[in-house]
Amino acid sequence: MSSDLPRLRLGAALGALLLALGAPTPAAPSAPVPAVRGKVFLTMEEALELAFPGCEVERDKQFLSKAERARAEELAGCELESSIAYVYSATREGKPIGTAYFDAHRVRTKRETVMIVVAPDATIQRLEILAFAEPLDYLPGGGWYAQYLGKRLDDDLSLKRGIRGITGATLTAQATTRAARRVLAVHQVLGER
Amino acid sequence: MTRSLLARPAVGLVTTASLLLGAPLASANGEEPPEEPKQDRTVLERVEALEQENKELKAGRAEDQARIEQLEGQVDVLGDEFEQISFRDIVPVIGDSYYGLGLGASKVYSLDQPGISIGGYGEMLYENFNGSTTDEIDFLRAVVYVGYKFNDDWVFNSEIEFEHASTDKGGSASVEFATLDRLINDAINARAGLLLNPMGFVNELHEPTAYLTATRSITETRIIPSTWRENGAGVYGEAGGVSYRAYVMNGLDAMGFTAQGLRGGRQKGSQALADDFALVVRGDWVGTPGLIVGGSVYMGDSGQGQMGLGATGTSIYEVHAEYRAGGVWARALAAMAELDDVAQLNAALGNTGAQSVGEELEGAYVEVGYDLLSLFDADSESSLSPYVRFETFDTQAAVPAGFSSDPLNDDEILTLGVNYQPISQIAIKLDYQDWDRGTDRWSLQLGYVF
Repeated sequence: MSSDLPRLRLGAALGALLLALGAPTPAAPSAPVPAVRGKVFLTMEEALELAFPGCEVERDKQFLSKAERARAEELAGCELESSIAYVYSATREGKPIGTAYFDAHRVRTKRETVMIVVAPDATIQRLEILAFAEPLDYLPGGGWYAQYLGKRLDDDLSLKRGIRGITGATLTAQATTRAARRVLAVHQVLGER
Repeated sequence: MTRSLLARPAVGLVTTASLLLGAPLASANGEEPPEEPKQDRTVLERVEALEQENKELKAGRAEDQARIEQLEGQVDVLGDEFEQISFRDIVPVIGDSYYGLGLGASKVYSLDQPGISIGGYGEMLYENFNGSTTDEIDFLRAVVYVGYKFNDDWVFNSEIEFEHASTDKGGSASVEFATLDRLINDAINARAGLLLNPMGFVNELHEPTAYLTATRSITETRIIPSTWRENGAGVYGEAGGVSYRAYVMNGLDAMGFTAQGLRGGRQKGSQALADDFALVVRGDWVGTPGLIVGGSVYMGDSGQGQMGLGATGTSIYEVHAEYRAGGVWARALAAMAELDDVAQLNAALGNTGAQSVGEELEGAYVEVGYDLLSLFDADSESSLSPYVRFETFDTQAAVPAGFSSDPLNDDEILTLGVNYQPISQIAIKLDYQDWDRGTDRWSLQLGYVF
């Protein structure tokens, strides 16, 4: 066994790895694909362009009354961060494509900012992580976030039902699920006006 | 202000009506009508007064309208600025308006960037042993995580652990890991420093909320030592639903091996003997939410050039799987280790008979828990999970000729318990372990993470 892994070979590998740490960073890909390069993956503008290519996007500010906020919180099952909703409605040739909302929330001690696009049928059409200030070890990988697509505001949108948790990133999973519920709840309340 | 605005025309109308209707009404009541010229003057004065009042009302309304527009503008600006603050990570703040936001700016403003990240966890453990073994309550671990992001390419992260509450009574203060990461892209990143060996579940995820039971498994304590950290460097990343880590790190020190396992061989990054290095590689399928399936291999020598020892080649293999969905949380892990030159090592350590270090070590466990609260309240952050774990291990599955195995190192444990999390960051666990040969015990753990 020891002959398989001679000391010098592994020592050299360690040296090479340490040297590689200082190598220049390769150019970032041009496509706006989230990458593990730090905390900010996409700006708001980039995220909207990614979600609504070729669409007209109208920004609107909506102030929730106390009663509306209370109703949204009841629907979401958690508190809203604010009574102001920033609504980005996308249309193509006059036809509604989706409505984007942004939600910034604390994960452990730092923030995660997500964009959630609600489809005309009130399901989640897209979820993008725009910024993640916690160590990236707490950012779920793989296709974990894809679980939210197609979910609507019901009991299935929960870590105990339709969203599967992830060991080691439990707080991120909870924070993201709460954000999804908040967004769908606000969208519903605004639609009830 | 809105109320007074609405009230003014009403007052005016009432006044107007009373003025215009006042005279005919008085006449109808049979009172003596005033002389006409005097009446004309009175009416004229009243009309003039009304016109003046009307003029003032119009001026007031115009002034109020201007103030409303001004206030609306201010609220609009405040709303925009609130959005800038709320989403400071992702909103450019300089440039022309686009979607109401800055278009031309390429700089992303963030109050959090760069910055320090702080976290931590801890656990207190009470163990009540059957028989004559003394019971113990111990504040086993208090841990602080400190990370620092230098820029988008370089990140530092560390874990500083205080074990057993006091160094006066055998406790210790240790750096569990301290790594510099060079972030490149999803597929490949580099890491160097005091690394956590990525084998198994517990080495990288040892916070109390990251596992079901009150105590760690024996397999992930003696065969895959935990928390196992050594100095080295490596790469990690994720592509196509597969995550991986590949590190070169200093090897174990065989002089720390015992009949109970490899745990004592950890050098913990402290003045580590570095004649021998090891390679550890881990891969996991993470492409299916809720499911992790993977394995890892560790290969390296542990002799470290010490007198009387051979190379003491050490290989450890493990496979693992975890499934989480709804209220279910299940895990399985199997590990085995193979050591060379054990007879030489036994001689150097002075081991005889059943004291031999194992040439082969093996262990496995399966555990499953179910969150009962998920049946009643999908939104609840609390969980109450009864669990069961079955484990088998043998740290002397094979020993060199001339040595024997201690039956106590070949055991099976059935653990039954309950894990209650009032919130997801706090865990209270109570379980009972039924050992086939070893000492049965009750364990109660209080843990937290932030």
